[in-house]
Amino acid sequence: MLLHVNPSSGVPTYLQIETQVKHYIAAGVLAPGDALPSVRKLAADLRISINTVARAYQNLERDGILRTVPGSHTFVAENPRSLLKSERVRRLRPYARQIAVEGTQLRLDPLEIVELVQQELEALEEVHERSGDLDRKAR
Amino acid sequence: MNDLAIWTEKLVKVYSDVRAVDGLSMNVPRGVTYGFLGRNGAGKTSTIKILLGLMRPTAGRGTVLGFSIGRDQVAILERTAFVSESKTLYGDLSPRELVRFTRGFYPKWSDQAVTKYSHLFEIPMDRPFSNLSQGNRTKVYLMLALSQGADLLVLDEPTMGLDPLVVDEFLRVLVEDVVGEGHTVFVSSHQLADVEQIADCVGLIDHGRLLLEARLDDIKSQFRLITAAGNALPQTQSAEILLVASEGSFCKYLVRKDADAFAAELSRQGATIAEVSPLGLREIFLELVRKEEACTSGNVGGIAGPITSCV
Amino acid sequence: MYFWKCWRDSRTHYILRLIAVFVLCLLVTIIIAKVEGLTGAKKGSAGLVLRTWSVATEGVLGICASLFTLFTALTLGASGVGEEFKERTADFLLTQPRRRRYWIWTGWSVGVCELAVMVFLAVGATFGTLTYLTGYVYTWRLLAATLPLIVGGVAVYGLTYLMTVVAGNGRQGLSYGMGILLINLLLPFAVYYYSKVNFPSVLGFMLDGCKWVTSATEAFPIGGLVVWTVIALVFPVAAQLVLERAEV
Repeated sequence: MLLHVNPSSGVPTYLQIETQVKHYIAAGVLAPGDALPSVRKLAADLRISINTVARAYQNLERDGILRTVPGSHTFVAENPRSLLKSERVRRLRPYARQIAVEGTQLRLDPLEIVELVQQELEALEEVHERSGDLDRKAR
Repeated sequence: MNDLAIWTEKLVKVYSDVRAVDGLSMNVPRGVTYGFLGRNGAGKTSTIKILLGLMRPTAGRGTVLGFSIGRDQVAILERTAFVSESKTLYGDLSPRELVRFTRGFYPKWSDQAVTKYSHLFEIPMDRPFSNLSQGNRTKVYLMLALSQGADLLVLDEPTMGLDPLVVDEFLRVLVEDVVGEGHTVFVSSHQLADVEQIADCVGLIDHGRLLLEARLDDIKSQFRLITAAGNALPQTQSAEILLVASEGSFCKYLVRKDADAFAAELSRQGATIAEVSPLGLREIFLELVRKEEACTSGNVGGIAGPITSCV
Repeated sequence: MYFWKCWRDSRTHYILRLIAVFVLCLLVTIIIAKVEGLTGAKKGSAGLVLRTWSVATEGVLGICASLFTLFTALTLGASGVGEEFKERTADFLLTQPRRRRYWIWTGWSVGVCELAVMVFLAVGATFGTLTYLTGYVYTWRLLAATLPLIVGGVAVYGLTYLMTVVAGNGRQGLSYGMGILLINLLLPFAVYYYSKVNFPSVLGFMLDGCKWVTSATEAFPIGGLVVWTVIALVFPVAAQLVLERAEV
C-alpha cells in the first residue's frame, strides 16, 4: 500500500497514517472490504514503531473506518456505523475550529477560508471519479 | 518485581567530584522502542553501564526486566543483549569464531538468526575482526546481539559507521524481529532522525537527570513553538511554558501542553500570533538542552522536572 | 567457551615453549651424562649412575626447567583477563551472563593446565633420557617432584595474573610480577648474608623437590608445598575480589 510517513515532521506519525488512510478511502483508492497490511508488516515496511501503527489502526477502528477480524487482517469497514448526523457534525467541529483559528491567524477572511475548503472537496471528488473510472475499466 | 523493562529511582553516579548521573528516575515499558538522548557527557553511557553491571551506582536503585541491578546481574545479562559504543571484540577471532565464543553463554541462542543476519548485513564471516572495517565491526556486534534471543536490546550508537542502506535494514530488523516479537529496544544515539523514526518513547538526559520522558507521539502532538508579537508579552516561565527567545517585540515560547489555549490567551491580551508550529525531535532536543544550559549557568529560572512519563 | 578462547590466545607461544623445554631438557640431560662420563646406553657403575641422576635432576629440572617454567608462568599471567581492559574488550566480556569470578577461575585454570603439562613434559624428557642412558628408574619420586615444580610455577603465574587484573594491562602486570619475582629470588641471598637466615624463595622450593629425588638425606619439602600451594591459591582469590569491584 502506498503509505508513506515523515517521522521528522511535527505531525505525529500515527496521525499521518490515519489521515492518509482516510484520504485514500475518501478518494476511492481504498474501497470497503479492501484489506490493509498487518500492523507488523506496515511498521516494518515503513521502518516505524509497531505501536504507532497499532495506534493508528485502533483509532480508525474506533471511528468505525476500519474493522479487524480477529486472527485475520484489518479491512476497510463495509458499512460504516451509521452515526447520527449530530454526532458526525460533532466529530467534524474540532477540525472546523482549527481551520477557523488557523485561517484567522493567517489573516485570511472567512470567504477565502470557505473557498479553500470547497476547492479541497472538489479535488477529492475528482480523484474519486478517476479511481471509479479505473475500477470500471478493470472490470 | 515490576512490569517495566527498565526502572530506575534516583540513580546517582559520582566520579571524583563529577556527578555523571544525578538522580535519574527512568521508566521504560516493555515492548517499546525507547530512545535515550542527550549530549556527549550528559550521562548516557554511565547510565547504560550501571544498568548492565559494568559500574556500580553511588546511590539509587533500579531494575531491568524486573531483576535488581547489582544483586541479580547475571539474570539481567542472560536476557539483555548489549551493543557497546566501543564495539571492540577479540581482534584475532573471525566473526564465525566470535559466534562460537558467544553462543555458549545463551540458552536461547538462534543459529538461524546468525545465518539470516550475516547474509542480510553481508558480513565477511571468516576474516579476523581486527581486519574488518568500522562498519563491518558494527554489523558483527549487531549480529551477535540479535542472535541471543534477548528480551531487551540495549544499543549504544548502533548505527555508527553503517551506510544508509544497512541502517535502513537494521531499523527494519528492529521493528519486525525485535519489537515485533514483543521485546524491548533501548537505544542511545545521536542519530535523531533514526530514533524519531522507530521510537515510541524518548528520554532526554542532561547533566545526569532526565529533562523529559514521554511518548514521542504525545510530544509531537503537544509541543508547539509559538511566535508572538506584542507589547506586553509574558516573560515568566512555568512548567508548561518556556520562554526560549525574546527580541524586541517578538517572543518565542516553547509550549508543552495546551498550546492553543495559550495562543488564545495571548491573542486575548492583544498579541499577534505569528506562528504556531509543531516541532521535530531535533528541535525539541535543541531547545530543551539549550534552555537547560542557560539555566545551569544561572541565567534564567530552572526547568521543572520531566513533564510526563512514558508509561 | 572462555576456556577455549584463553587456550587459543596462548597456544602458539605455548606450544613453541613446550617444544623448547622438551628439547632443552633432553639436550642438557645428555650433556650432563656425557660430562659425568657415561659413555653409552645403560653402561656405568652404580655410583656414576646415581651421580648422573642427581646432577640431572637438580641441574635440568631444578634449575633449567624451573626457570623456564617461571618464565612461562610470568608471560601466561600477563595474558589473563586483566588484559581485556587494555584491549577494550572488557565491556563485551563482562556483559556475558556469568559471575565475574567465573572469568578469573576459568582463565586461571587454563594457565594451570598449561604449566602442569609443561612440567610433565620436562620431567618426562629428563626421566626418559636418563632411563635410556642408565636404566635406573626413580619414577615415583620424580612424579612427586613434579608437584613443587607445578606449584611454584602456578604461584608465579597467579602473581602475574593478579598484577594484570590490578593494572588492567598485561605489560604492567608482567613488569610488576617480574619485579616481585626477582625480589623473591634475590632477597634470600641478602638476608642470608646479613643474618644467616634462610629466606624462602620459590626457586629454592622447586629445587628442593628435585634434590630430594636422588637423595637419601634430603626431605621432601612438604611444608613448603603447603605454604606455596596456599600462596598460589591466594592470588586468584585476590584477583577475583579485585575484578568483582572493578568498573569498566
